Amino acid sequence: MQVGTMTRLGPAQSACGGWRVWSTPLRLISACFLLAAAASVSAVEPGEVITAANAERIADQVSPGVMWCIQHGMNLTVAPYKKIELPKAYVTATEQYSGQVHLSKDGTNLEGYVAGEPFPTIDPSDPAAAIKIMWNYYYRPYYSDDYLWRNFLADTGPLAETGLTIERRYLIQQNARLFFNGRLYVDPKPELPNPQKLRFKELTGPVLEPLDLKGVGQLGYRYLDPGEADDTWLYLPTLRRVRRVSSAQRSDSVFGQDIDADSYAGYSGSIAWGTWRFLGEKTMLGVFHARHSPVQWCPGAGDFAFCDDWEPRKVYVVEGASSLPQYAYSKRVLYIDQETMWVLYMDAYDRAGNLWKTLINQWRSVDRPSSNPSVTVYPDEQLFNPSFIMVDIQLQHATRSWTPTEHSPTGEEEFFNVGSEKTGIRESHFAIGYLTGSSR
Amino acid sequence: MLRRIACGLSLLFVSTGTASALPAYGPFQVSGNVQSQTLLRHPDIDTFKFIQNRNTLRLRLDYRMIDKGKLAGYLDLPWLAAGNLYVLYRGVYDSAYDIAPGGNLYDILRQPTGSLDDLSADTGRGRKYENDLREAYVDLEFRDVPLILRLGKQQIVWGETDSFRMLDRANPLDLTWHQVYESWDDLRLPLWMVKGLWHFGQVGPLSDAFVEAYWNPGDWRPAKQGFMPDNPWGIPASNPLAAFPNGLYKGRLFIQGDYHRTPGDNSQVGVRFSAVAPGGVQFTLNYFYQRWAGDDGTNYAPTRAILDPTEATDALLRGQAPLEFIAPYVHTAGFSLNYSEEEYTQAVFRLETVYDFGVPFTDTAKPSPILPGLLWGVTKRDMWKGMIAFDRPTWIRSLNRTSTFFITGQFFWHYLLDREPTFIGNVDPSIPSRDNIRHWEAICTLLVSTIYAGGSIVPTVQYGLDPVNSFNMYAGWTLDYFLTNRIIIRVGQNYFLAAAGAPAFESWSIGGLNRGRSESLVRLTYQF
Repeated sequence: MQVGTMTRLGPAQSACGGWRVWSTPLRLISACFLLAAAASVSAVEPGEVITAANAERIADQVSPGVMWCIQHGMNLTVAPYKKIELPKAYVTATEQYSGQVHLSKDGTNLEGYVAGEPFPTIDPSDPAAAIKIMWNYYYRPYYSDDYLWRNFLADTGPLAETGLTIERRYLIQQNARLFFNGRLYVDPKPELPNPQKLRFKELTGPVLEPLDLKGVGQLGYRYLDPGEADDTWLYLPTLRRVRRVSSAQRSDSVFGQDIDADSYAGYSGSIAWGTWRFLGEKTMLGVFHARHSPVQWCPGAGDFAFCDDWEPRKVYVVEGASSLPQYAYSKRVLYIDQETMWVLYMDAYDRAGNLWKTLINQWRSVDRPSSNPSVTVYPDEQLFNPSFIMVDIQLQHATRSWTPTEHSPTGEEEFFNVGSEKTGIRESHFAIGYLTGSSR
Repeated sequence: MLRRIACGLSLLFVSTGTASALPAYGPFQVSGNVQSQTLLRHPDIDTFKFIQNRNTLRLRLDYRMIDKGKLAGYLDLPWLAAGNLYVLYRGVYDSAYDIAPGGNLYDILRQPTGSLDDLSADTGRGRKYENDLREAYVDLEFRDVPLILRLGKQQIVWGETDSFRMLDRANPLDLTWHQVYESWDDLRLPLWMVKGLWHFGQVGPLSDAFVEAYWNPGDWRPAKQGFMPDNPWGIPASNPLAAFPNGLYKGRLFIQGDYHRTPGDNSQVGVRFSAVAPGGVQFTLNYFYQRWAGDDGTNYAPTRAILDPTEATDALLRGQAPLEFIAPYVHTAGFSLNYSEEEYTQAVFRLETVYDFGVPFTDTAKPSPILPGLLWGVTKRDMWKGMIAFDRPTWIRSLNRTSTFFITGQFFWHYLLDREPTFIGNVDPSIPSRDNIRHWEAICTLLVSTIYAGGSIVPTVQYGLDPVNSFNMYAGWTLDYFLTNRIIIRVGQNYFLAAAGAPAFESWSIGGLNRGRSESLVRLTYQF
């Protein structure tokens, strides 16, 4: 490995455990400060429980948003790092196709992309490092053909000493995606017949609870051309019809929750809809081998957040500013795991530059969702998402979402790249006609 | 009885703490709500009148009876991919008819029409209860063909409009329910129909193409209307047939005309093609052949005089009005589109337009042979109607920094082709120059809504303006507060503003027809 070059196909722990590469003198000064702080990493041992009382011990290993959550009741247990092997098909596709991928002249799109990771080698001194990391994030593993997250709950409410006061609880039947390019498992691959030039279609709903929203469903299209906005249709039971909705305000809250359309997973917009800045790499604590599924919420005031094992992960730190009009956030900072390219957590800042919200993901890298004998067993480990939380730090308000719940008969509520036979969700379901004909 | 059932059910749910015993997901889901809505009418600042305490129970059943080609998990139905049963029951008890507050209700001319206290026991009983299987249908999704069938009692809603309608005409409206405070799915009369949707997908340059068609094999009725004082929010007039104890010569007013409810005599059909054109415009082409329901704001003729002198005289001698209720078949062609413009306006634009062939209008050139100054025959004319609208989520951060304001504006128009000067409307033609049939009618609406506190506070304000009829206006607001996820409190008010201070018979019944009907609302809902 060359000096100053990071390679994801051969992940290795950073020699210093902290920031590695900076490209300007100012950043070097900051890096020195942070490197000093990073020395405290070794002071935290696996098995140690971090609470508000000793949160400062990991101040440099979590984002400011996560630190706020710990100070307000979230607990975590430090766990040892465990390597995650990427799915073989993804690694093979990366080796096969990445050599032909390059950025378009304006940097907003990929040329020559077929499947796998577009840029397996990131040179931090490359002015395009940030955008390349983000394209790697866009085409990250596990989500290559289709995906289903079903029967998930979402609570939202203000934080209190006694815990989350639930204002609204939503139960949603499914969130399903069908990817049109970069496919690795289900025929046809690597691309579905794609006259609309789509990256994916997404079907969310119907809402099962509460009754006032029961039946609401949403269909969304994301196009390969980053200059093209998403298309979104919403079925509203009180209207009994499908309605076109604007997808322009992607930072608008979803049903009034703390989460917004762009913040799912950390960032769900198109890479071209913003400018990206590479802040460096660092070792941070994150949950990638969750012990609890169903999720276990922290006790007392911290029950807005999951309590689980947090392990040191090497991350890219990337800052993004949306170019969409009237965007709610001035910037978001993503902490992206270098092995999997999934986000540990994301901090969002208001237009005055103050920390506003934080999203924290709970990941679980396993080859099966539970020990129940009837569940799907995958040939490779998949990255299950038992829960995530989004906290409005300024309003002290939070949304937590999770599946499986305690009512799940087998614990299997997530499916990766298994095709329609397994999930029952066919390509024709991702259509206005299906939303129109089947919604009630 | 219904009230007891509703109270019992609500106590059951409260006593168990939550309704978690009911399956919220899985193949079998039961849900519903118990709702109590109270209305006070305040025609002026000094007067309040209690007019409604509607207690409603809704019970809903969703059953996924066919999954992956298996009925109830056992019986193979290999040609089907999925099948769902949906049942919705609605029971109503309105205590206002038992409490029977005195005090007159007034018609559009500010003349007293009596009070709820004046109603006979039979009439009150008929008004205060409803016991209705609202919807009951089965959805069948086929495995090898992209076809979805919906069979049963259902609502079919096409088009792009809010508040008023044109392409949304498969189901007539129950206008004995309150037009302002009820959602459209409560106002429509569900009917027994067969609907099929065939999804084509890509057709040439068009994407997401589908054809949807329905057939109503005879279960159709016109819009349901009520009069004063039986329905304080119904037509602002006493029943014009009160002087005729045996009703109409033919048919029953706003219930049925001279036809049988059979496939041969009363079938209704509609078909539409929908697709997304290159560039992102979604459009539909629509065609209907069905009886005229009379609930889209058109100032049409629901009745026509019996023009045969002998028949008319015989009817009068039998105590019948020499009129027949009519609901003629009308061809309607329609078009709608929507487009989401994200670059400059970040708004969705909506358009809907229809052309109706042969809408009946009262024509004073065809007087009744025995009551020539009161009753007339009809003449049919074509109408062109349309709406253009925008929806825009808009940040107003000084008022709400976490959610946008949803702002939607609509402009509707009606144009009557070949209007004759002899056409008149239906509301008391003895008042000169007040019930005009115009070439053009128009109305504008504006609605703004947002969400606070994680979705638990939802304020909405709305406004309507009729620029043709004295600039009459409507303004209203509601505030929904979710006390818990299950208990919802709604308060609201609406104000009808008759700018001219005189009756005006505008098509869409805002400030003119509804003058003196400003109201306040309190609604409590327990949902499970």
